[in-house]
Amino acid sequence: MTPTPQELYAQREQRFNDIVALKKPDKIPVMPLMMHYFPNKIAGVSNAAVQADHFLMTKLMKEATLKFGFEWGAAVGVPPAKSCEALQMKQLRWPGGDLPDDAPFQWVEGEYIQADEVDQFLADPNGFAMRTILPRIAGIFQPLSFIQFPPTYWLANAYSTILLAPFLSAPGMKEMFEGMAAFAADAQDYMAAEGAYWGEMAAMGYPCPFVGVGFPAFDLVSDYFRSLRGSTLDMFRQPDKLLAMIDVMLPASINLIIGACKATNTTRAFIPMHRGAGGFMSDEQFEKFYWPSFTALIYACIENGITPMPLFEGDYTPRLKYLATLPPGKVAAHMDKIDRKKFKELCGDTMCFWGNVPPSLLATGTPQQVKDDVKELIDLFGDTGALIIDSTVGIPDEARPENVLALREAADEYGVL
Amino acid sequence: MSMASSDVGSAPGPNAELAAQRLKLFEDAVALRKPDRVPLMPLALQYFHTRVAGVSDKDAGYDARLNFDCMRDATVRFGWDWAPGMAVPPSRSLEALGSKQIRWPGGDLPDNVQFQWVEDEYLKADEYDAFLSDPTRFTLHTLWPRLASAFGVLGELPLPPVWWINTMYFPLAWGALLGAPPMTAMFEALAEMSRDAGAFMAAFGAFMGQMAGMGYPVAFIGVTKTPFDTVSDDYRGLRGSTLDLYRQPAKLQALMEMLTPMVIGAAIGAAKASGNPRVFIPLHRGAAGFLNDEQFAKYYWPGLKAVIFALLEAGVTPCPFFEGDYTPRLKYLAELPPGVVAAHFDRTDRKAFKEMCGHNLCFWGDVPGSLMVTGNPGEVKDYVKGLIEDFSDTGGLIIDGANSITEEAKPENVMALREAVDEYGVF
Repeated sequence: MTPTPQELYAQREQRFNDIVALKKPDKIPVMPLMMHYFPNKIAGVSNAAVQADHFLMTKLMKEATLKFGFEWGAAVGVPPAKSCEALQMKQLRWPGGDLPDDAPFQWVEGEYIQADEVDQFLADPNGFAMRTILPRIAGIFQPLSFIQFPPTYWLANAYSTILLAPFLSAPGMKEMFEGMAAFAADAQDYMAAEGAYWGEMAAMGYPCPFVGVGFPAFDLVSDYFRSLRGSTLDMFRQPDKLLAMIDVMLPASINLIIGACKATNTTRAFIPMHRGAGGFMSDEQFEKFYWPSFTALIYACIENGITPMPLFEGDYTPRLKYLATLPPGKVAAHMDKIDRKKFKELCGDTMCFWGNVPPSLLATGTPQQVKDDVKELIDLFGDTGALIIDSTVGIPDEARPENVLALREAADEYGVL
Repeated sequence: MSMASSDVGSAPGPNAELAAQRLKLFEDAVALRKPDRVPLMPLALQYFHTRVAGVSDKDAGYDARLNFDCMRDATVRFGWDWAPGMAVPPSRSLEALGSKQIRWPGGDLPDNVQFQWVEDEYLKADEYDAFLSDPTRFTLHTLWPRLASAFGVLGELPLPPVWWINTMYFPLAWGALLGAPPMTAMFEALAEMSRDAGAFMAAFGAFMGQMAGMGYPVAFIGVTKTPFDTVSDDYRGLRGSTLDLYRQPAKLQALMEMLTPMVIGAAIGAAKASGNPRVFIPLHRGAAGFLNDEQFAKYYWPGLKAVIFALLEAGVTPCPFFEGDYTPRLKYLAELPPGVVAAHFDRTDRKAFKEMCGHNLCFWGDVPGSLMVTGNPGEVKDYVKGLIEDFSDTGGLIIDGANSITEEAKPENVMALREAVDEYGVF
């Protein structure tokens, strides 16, 4: 008897949850963490087009999910162009903006907090962010750079609306609020597209992987404010200030995840990780600067009933000894290019193994090579079944369709436990 | 007083000299130099100028251009020596904000009732630490949602805003929050406020241009308050701040210390930006009855002095309005530097003032509101005559109602102020 969509949904949800909880599932699923431009590329649609049209993007997401037999609707990993335009984003470049229509979006890393500004940031993180950081990363916030902070006194008396008039009517101020309203409207549109997508997928029996996203505090500092160069120098030149910045970022990141999960009534959160990988820092630095706030984030998710889905991007083989201390059966760990045998040995009792099929194989290999790789994974993790099939960072943009289909075929062929 | 003449009008027309003469009347009186004539300079008006023109209080708040036109006409009609400050908050901005701290005619008040301040414990007794340790966060997360419904949504925002938009996943990360309709509504409200502020500034600018063209200075543009009044009026309420004096005086002090640079910065900023070197400082809780002398000396006076001295140092003329009865505080006021503070009085004993502060402060205001509303022109003129007699030796006198020109004043009584200075006030 063919299962109903509701039954399929429940089975798939159950399968994922069982695997995370280290309970043996009925079979090994194919669940891409996310996709960027793969769905539009195979449909012959430009990156710029999906970047600008949320509904087109989610339609193509749906088609790819159905076509390739994924077991949930992959999450969208593309920042919307209209929001970027409304904000006049300087920290992102995007196809259809100043990048060619078929380029992927790009992150512009920089020292948005200068080394000698850390004290100012720490003394008033909110004020500094509004006055100094926001104008640096998005053009519409330029007027914030010349208004007085903290805003405590702004609305503090009966004449405040008169007193605020000169600054509220200052050049760029109305445009800033209009830009924010346009950004909010695009976010509403985006959420409407996402909502429709998730609703449609659910009706067909496909769960939603996640909506909430949060970042390890170290990565917030390094990726977004100090850059790799800046944060690396900080580890040597001003380690205490770096730690103090991490302390500021941590609750912000926790609140972001909890807020998004509550607002969307979802219970999983994606945690992209960057600078904790092997190669960026020594073990000693990892212990001091990365691991404590990362684990705090993980525990905060768990305490709030949220399954953290960290993407251990890069090579985390040297960190497996730390990962082994995470609470067992609680973390949906997605791996990039880790030593899978070592993982099994050190973390097999702690976490499931998700991902790791090389994008190079999907982009340049043959279906048979892909199937062989999946078979190797299933052979290694089949005893506990703590395995979810995916490439390293979701499905790569350049993957050959027949190779993506091979993931499904391999799971069907070898993954029924 | 280096900035003193910079605000008489950017267009040096035929009346520039007239404006300078009028301003000199004020400056002489403040400096305790005998002016040519006792000046008649109302400090700030709420609805007198609009009501006398038959404009509703509601329209006065919603139509800035109409309001300033009325101010221009009243200034000319009643023979004032400058255009008073306009002290009605723009209603469209209040409406956009969904202000809960101010009620206004045309909002939930009838069309002909003046706007009202809603005092409350917007900062609770046990929230001082949170406020002091992170003022911006507390302001955005806690205070503003309590002050204005458009900001209700701010209480939900994850702070600090450091990563709101600068992650590549920002729409995923907080699209759910930003995409919430109240958030769009908040930005639209702010944009609406910004438009309204633009309209207000355009009307104000046109008004100042017209007044300058006719030879009238404008009273002031900047407004600020003392740290104590900011805490008591705006955050803790009279009841809250009074209890704090006994229960947690150190926290009250700490908050005042935090606010001091802000209230000073707001005043100097407004004076510099506008080029008008006079700043209005309404005083509330320093009057007799609210605090005993010891409390005044410890909690009120240092903040007031700090604001006054900081303004003087920046070349700004402080215009404190000593509302209520400051007779018991005259011994403190006598310490202020002579001839530089434009002190406006409500119900202070003028004989005691003359004796204790005649050497350092001008006497501005004092004509009782009750007389302006219920008396007759002869009584008003007699009262002004009495004032002129008391202060004619130094000339340190500026005529105005005790609370400036009250909205219920009879037009003929307001006219009598002008007649009196002409009749008795020419030195």
